[in-house]
Amino acid sequence: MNIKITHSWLLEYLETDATPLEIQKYLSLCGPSVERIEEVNGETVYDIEITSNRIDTASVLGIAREAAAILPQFGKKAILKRKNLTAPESPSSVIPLTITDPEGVCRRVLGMVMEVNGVSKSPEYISKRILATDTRSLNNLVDITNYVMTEIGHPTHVFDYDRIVSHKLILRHAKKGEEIITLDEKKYTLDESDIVIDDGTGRVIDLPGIMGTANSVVTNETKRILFFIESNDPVSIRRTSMRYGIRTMASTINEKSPDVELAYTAFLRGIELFTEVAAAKPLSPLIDIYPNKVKTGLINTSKSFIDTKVGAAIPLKTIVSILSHLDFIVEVINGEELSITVPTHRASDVAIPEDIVEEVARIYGYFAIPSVLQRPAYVIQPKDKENLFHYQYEVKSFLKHKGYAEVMNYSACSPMLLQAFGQKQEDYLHITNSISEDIKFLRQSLIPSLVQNIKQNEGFAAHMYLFEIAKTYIPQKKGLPKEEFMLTIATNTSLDELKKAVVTLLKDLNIYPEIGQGGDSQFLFPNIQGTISSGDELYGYFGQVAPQFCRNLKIEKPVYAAELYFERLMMAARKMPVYKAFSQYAHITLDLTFKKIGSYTQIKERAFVASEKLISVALKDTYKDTITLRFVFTDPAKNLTEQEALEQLEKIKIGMESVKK
Amino acid sequence: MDIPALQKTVRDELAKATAVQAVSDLELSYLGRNGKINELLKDIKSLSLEEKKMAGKDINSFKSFVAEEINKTKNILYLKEDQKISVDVTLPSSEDASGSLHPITIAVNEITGIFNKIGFIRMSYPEVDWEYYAFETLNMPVTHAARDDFETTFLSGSADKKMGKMVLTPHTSNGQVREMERLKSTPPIRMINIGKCYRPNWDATHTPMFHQFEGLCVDKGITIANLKGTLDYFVKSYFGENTEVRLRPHHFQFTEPSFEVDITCTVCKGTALAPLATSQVAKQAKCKICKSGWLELGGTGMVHPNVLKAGGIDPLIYSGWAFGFGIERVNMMKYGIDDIRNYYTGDIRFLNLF
Repeated sequence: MNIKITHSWLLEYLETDATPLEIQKYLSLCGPSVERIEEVNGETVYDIEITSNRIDTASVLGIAREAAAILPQFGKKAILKRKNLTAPESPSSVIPLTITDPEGVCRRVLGMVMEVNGVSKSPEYISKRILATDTRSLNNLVDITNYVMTEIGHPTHVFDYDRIVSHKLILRHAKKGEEIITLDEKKYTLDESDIVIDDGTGRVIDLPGIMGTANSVVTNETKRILFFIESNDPVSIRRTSMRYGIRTMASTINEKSPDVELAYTAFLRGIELFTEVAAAKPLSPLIDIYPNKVKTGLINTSKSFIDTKVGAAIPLKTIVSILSHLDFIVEVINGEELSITVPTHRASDVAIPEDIVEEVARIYGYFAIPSVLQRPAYVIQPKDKENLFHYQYEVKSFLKHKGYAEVMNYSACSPMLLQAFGQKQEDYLHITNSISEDIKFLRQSLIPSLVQNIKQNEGFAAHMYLFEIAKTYIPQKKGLPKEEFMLTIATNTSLDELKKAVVTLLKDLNIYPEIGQGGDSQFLFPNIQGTISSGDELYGYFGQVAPQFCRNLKIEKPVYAAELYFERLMMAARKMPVYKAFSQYAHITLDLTFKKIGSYTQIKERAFVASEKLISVALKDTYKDTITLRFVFTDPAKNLTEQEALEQLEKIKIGMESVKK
Repeated sequence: MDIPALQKTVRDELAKATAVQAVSDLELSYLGRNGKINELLKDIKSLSLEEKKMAGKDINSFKSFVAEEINKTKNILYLKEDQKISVDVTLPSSEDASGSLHPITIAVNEITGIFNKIGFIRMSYPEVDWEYYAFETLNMPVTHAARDDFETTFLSGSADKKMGKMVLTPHTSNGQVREMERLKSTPPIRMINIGKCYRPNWDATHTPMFHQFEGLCVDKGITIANLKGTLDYFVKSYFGENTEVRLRPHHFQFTEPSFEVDITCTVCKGTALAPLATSQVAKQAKCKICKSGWLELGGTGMVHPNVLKAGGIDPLIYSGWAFGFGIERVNMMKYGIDDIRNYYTGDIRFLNLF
């Protein structure tokens, strides 16, 4: 969250000779980040980022406290000016008011009825400051609640006492289905986990800590007010405010657990302002329900602990001075041990010695700490990870040089895409709080996304060559899904182009796989698909994407795709091929044309079975039902004669013919 | 034998030749087997020994003269012919099909290399993980705001009693305790974990999926000074030698202290001023990229003792630092790739840029 405060307002709590620019620079280095300085109606306004743990700085008082600790480190004068606030005396005669918290839903509740001299415009200094913080100026009574919140850091509320006819306020959990209308005239139906204020008749008169309701807020006719502060349960505030989307400054502060003690300071400051601005007079005693007083924490640490965590020696005097400026009470024992009492406004944030290290180091200045690389250490990278990352880049570069563009798609896809590829939604893990239907089902194959990419790029390029390496997520019976890296290559050119890419890639990785006819990839057309494997290890599939799936996406040209189990490939890949000395003896090349029976892979296998001198086979031509192959023969121990080679060829011929029978 | 006259004839004949071929023809007619030189040699056979000697000497010198003249003329003509050849070398060549690497890949490779050099191993951890690793072990209790529906992407897989719900990891920090467990809670740890992260946020500057690189260093005596040293090393290696780093206080549940890291703006070099056009004399404008001379890199801090404890490491003996930076962000800062919405649409016009 960000807050805005004006420079003049800050000066009410801080005596300093620092300029706004200096304050911006030094605070940002050591404390809250001052993101911008703006000039608004002659006021210098700071726009400050408040991290969720430092809600104590979300106020003029909080920023002044930080500045008083930080600025002296840069040689600037800075003294925190605390306001002297006292509780008003109870009136001699009191009017009825009952506040109860039977379920103990709040940590503290403060309330007091006051008579005011009417509703009017705020004095200029108040409305100007409120406007500078981006809050609307409504009237003197409401403006004071906002003013106190920004100045002290705790949200406050004001009711019209006379509109709470029962004069009773009971804090309780809402009933399921209970309806309220907030002061901005919006209707909400509540849930049992929300907290409301009941006037004793079952009527809800407030959504405490978040927003007032229309039926109890001050109007132009208000004569008597109930000034009210409660210290809520931060978790419940966040749940309720997020559930209904009511994101007020009050709820943003309350959900971050502001200091319970600070509620009292805010209350006294509010009374002071109501007295000053609206001539308020107390009509009731100050009610303060505070069953469990917040405890101050105690942290024991040492100078050497701080030094070892920081990596620099910070003088003890500096440590004590920094912490004291931040309202910590420091007791030094034997010039080394530190016993530190944590102020209540830091109770939810500072609990362990490391938190003290942070306080000291940030004010001392992170810029003042040296830069020293840690001493080296050797950690063994698991082999599978080494292979995965090494070859991943090699493979990507290889495909790039072959003309393929690397795509990265979302890990999840739309129900439409699943349907187009004949997939069942229930087989997929899905995002239960998806912000878009486009990214709902976790992918189990990259083929659908790549086909979709080809479709989406139709107007921009005729020939598409794409690849992606990404995880797929296969649900398991129990536990986390199996995450498996897939390499998927897709093109809308030809099966030959696709196969060429796959085969040359594998060759580059020194993998010599077997290509099998047919396969069981459900994304590929059964008649035009094959497997890539080695022994029992299946590396993946390639072929034509089933035409009906392409038609579902209104793609007319055929798409070809290969999907490979990337990690399996990586484990099989070699940086060098298996070394085999080249033959010293003659190679004899002979061609043979015969009737093609079975797949090329099968024919090749038959040829190697038939001839022991055969070293390679290549396809020369196919014509109708015949095939012409080119065979190369050699002998590892002598020069083969033409006659001997022809004998080998004859063996192959016989081998091929024997299949016919 | 009138050598001077013969020489003159050769010169005249050569002077008439305008092409290399004509010179080659002359060469053949003089120096060929049936050429004029051989004719002359035949003619002296009948002369006395003394005369033969004299004439032979003359013929030989004439032969050298002819060879030299022919060579000279040829060279001149060749040079002339060479001059006629000219090619417009600016015409485009034929090209092999060119593919591309995704900009994330390029950055990942560069970043991995930088950290490898100082002994950090790259790891990879689940993208679908339990709340336990995504939050609990990172000191984020059930009530923490980051764990609600608005910040975290939940999955339909059944929850585990101990581990909680299944989520798409909102950061790469789920790898922190997983790495501690892999090493059996025994430092040293030097890890760089790069992965996809997911948050339910989709607008001009956010995509629901993005990449982070996470550094984790745990050892005895690791200090804020060490974190600063490492960031300095990385930033200078990646963004350039003149880049400066600063830490500002921040808050993250899993680090204590926590910092936000800024580097000097890669555009204005930390001056906070816009580049000055030559015609500009008026007041120099502020840098449009950074406005202040600094750019925010990401979050970092000293590993929270509760995180070490969750990984079975004794925070009294060991300490560490961790950071998580966005890869899309460093690409924007270093290469000016500013519209991150193009990263994951598969638009070929974007991919072809790399």
